[in-house]
Amino acid sequence: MNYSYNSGFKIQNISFKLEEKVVCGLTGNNGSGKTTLLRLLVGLLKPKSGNIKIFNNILTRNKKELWEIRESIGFLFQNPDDQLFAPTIEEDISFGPRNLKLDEEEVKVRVDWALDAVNLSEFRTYSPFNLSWGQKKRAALAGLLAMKPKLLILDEPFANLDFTSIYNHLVILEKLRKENEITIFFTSHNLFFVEHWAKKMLFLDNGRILFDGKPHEGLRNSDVKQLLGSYDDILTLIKNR
Amino acid sequence: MRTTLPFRLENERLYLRRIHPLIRLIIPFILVIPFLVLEDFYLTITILFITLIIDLLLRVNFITIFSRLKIVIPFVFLITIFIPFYVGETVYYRFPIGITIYQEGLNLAFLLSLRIFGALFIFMSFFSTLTYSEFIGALTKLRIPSVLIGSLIIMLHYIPILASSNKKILEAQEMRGKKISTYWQNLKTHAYILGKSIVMNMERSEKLYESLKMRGFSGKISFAPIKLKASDIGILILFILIIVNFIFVINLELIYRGVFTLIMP
Repeated sequence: MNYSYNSGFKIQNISFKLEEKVVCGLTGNNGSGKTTLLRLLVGLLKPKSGNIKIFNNILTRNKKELWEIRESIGFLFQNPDDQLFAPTIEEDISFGPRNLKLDEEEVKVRVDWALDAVNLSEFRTYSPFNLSWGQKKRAALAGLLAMKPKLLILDEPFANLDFTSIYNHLVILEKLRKENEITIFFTSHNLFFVEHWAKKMLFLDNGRILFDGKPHEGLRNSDVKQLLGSYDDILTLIKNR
Repeated sequence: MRTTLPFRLENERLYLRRIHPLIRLIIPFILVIPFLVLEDFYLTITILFITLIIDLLLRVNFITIFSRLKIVIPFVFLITIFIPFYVGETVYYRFPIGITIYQEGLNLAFLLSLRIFGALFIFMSFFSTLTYSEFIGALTKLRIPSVLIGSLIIMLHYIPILASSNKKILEAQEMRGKKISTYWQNLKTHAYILGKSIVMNMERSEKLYESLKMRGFSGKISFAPIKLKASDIGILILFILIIVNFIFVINLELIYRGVFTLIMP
């Protein structure tokens, strides 16, 4: 698959497979094309050439067919303010299920379940404006979960979160993955998550996949190491000041 | 400090919130329309008095409302300032330069100001009891097209976000010496901020649209309507009856004059 922006930045010869029910981490330096790749995967951008197959369906521009595929994908934006829009958390979460044309009773069941899954039941009538960043992130996640996706695509899910919030997020995501057999594809700059949480790692550099394989192998790869830098380099710099 | 919309918090307890939001949206119209249509000073005062009592009984913070009303003083002043010079025949005061103030014009300007402030006070009293979701719920119940409600929601969604990001930009600039810069530099800075805000707004709107599309947005945002209770209809009828009585049955002028005589014999 290939894609290019008018600015000249290109996603080139991208080809990879993602197994169902696994966690896959996408990493790379700033401007390497991670978010572009995610937007291509969910059909928000159209490849200039090549195809994207999700659950054996090719992503098309046909609105109806695209919606059928998107029903099984949940895309979490990096900034929850880009996602939460309704007056209350409850209304925001019910937006997706209502678009699935579910009856109000089923919508309510799903909203209750999603709120419970992200531990936000007591905040259901709150406005998104009155939540903390971590709570907003969880509320945005609940909005996706209520649609019962089979694939969760998360753009920097742990960015700007404290350790407790990261822990809470991981507990929620792991529980969901195990109980609902969800596939998770996430981007992160934090190699800790890529190394320890993901079963597969993709390393993107300047719009190309530089590494596709097991995280511990990827992090030992000399090209990847050279591009990413390391904690050791930072530590050495600080110690030698 | 976080920038927020002027709505009540969803978890805030308020007696008036037991009344359906749609009724709370309609009541101010029932109260305001009669005194805007009928030129009755006593009716105006009575309706304002009733609103004040409701505010006191139901713990609506009318001091905040009064402080917000201060913002419209210059506009009301601009609207009414010239009326006493042109309307009326009875001379109240004549300036040596030939300009005359008329009694009828003064009365009209006073009544007009009272009506504008009164109407705003009543609307703000009732609207200030609404939460964001109640406000949207009431509009949905009024069958306002979902496209308009959706646009309104998205607009309201971005006001606090943009306001707080603008505030942060200004703070960051202050930290780099904006306050000590010249007037023209300041103006240039504000122009940059405005430009940046427009770009940011467009980018964010695009992202929000994409996130809605991912959840099946097809141009329509629907919300679960809140059901009207019999007691809500009862309250609405009660208000209508009170106003009808004030207009057609009770002689308010007689009552006020009686009370006035009792206080100041």
